[in-house]
Amino acid sequence: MEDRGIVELYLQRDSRAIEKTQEKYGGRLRELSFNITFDAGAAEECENDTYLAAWNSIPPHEPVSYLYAFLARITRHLSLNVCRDRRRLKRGGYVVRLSRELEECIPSPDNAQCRLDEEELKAAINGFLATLSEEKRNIFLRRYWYLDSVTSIAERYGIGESKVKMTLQRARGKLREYLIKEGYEL
Amino acid sequence: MRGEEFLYKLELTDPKFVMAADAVPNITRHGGGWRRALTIVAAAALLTVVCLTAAMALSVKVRQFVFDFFTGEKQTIPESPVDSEIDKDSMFVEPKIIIGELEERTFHLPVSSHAGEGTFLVCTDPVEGQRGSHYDAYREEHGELVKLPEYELRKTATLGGVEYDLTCDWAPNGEDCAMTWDGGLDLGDELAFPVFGGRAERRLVALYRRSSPESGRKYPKEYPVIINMYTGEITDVLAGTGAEDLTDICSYVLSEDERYMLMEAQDGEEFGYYVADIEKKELHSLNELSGERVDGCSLLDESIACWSEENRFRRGWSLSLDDYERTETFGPTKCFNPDEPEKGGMTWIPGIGGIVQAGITYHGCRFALDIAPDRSVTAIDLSNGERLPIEGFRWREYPDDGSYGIGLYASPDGKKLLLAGHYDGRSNDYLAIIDFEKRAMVEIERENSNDYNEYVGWFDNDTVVIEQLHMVGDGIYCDSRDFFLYSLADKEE
Repeated sequence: MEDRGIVELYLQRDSRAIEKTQEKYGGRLRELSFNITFDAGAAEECENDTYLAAWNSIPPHEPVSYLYAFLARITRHLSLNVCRDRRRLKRGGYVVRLSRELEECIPSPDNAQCRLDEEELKAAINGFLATLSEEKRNIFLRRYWYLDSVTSIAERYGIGESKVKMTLQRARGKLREYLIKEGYEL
Repeated sequence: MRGEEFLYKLELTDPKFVMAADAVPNITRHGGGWRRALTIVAAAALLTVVCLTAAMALSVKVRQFVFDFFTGEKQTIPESPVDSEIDKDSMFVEPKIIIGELEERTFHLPVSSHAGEGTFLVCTDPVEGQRGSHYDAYREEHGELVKLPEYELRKTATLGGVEYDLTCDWAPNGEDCAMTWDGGLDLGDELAFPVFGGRAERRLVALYRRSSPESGRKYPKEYPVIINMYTGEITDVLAGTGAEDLTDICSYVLSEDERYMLMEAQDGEEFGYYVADIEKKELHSLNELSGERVDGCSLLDESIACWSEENRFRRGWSLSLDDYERTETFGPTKCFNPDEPEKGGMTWIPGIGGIVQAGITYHGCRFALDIAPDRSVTAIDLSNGERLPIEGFRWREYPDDGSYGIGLYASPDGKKLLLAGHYDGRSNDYLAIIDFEKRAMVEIERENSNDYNEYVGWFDNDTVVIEQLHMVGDGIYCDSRDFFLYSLADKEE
């Protein structure tokens, strides 16, 4: 079923919406969650919670043209929560490592709450991503949005691992420069 | 804000970026469609012959054009499409140009298996896929896998005052070789297992400097050298060129005569492309030779193809390897947007950084494809700008909703190009191989399934490999792999 049709079912409060969503995106959402939590049970839990969250948020949202991104964002958030809450031995460390990588981008990392409101932060993130070429943007997002390993990114795009690492290193440097230049204070 | 919080907040990313990052080609498909593919190829071949015969009988110009294309003579490309007397739609039926049949072989192997450079590697110990694992190497003979003998390399080599531990097992496959155990070999990160490729006696490989040398001489973190796998002898081909002073070298390719090495490397904080003239012991920045920023490059027989990209427009030029003289090859050309195929444009060009499998060095592609709004395709020779229309070939039609993608993969020698297409999250249902040297191409269709994940690449310069992962546990785990090899069976003209 087309995304438009699925969203229409949500809007009509038709419970087949969840069935159709699971049919079309269930496997990918679970895989995304598994990539983050490294736990099949937790991944299944996050997938199911995603359907519930989608049911509760459509409407008011109508993600007709970006249903997968909408669902994946929820799954990602829930999966990160799992890592944070349960401090999973294996994947928790992975999230910590990614967090440390991203800390390089932040001009003055500290314990303070973000000084930007959500809209400003959104503008900062998307403004920066728009400056990257499509290839670099995709690599950056595969690493820090989808939390893919360097190896799987290299396989996905058919490039060497060192190329991925180099691209990420450059992108992090550029992000830091961008945030400083644009005067964002995180 | 801390890094972890920022990681969370990346969820504010624009959904269109998120969707784009998810839609990139790589995965998919179900095999078993070889009979169908061969039927299509055979039918298309028959139709081709009929159509060509009819077209050539009807028009001298068409006859000349076809002969020119097959004989490889240079085409003078008309600014406006061919002559009006030719009804192209009725006379040329795709695929017009076919070299023989596309032969398919399938091998079912354990989960931790890999294929590349004419060799299969199958993991034999429980630490699957990790550095330190042992692999058995096989080559294909008449559709069967034959285990290759294994050799040991145990040596400590010194380079620039740094000791490198060359402890590994390897298997020769003809003149080539593959690593079956990386023991203590100080290889660069990009050569993490499995490692294919290279001639056994002259194997180009990057040594990995684990710590800063105390000798005072600073080598890049990863530094390409040639190793004789039989003796462990190291040849420092870049010695004296100045490449030793680069901070890092992440991609590299050596010319056939071992005179030039093209590299993507870091000099201080700056990344860029460099060419080392090994004979003259010189190192040149392509940015400086070109007088402008180079965004990508390929090492060709007698020149280096360069291009830059700005605001989705690309320009190209070549640098002669003799004197680095610059020749313009194509003016500002709009990049092809797969979501707007009706607008046409130039496809992405696989350059030297496009390493498809660990250990295989790619020259980058000699050709780019220019797609017209009517989906007709012209190949652009990046060495001289010559434009070669691929008559009868039309860029595949697919929905413009971003659900379909076609990936481009250059063969290791850069003389062939593979196009692999699939719907998002599904299998590769379309393959096309263009052999630029023979001015020939073949297209096949495959089944379109969402049962499997797939990776696409080149097995050797004549063979494409599709690695199909069999997923279990609701699609989370992979328990085995099928390898589909597609060869250009008729390699003769």
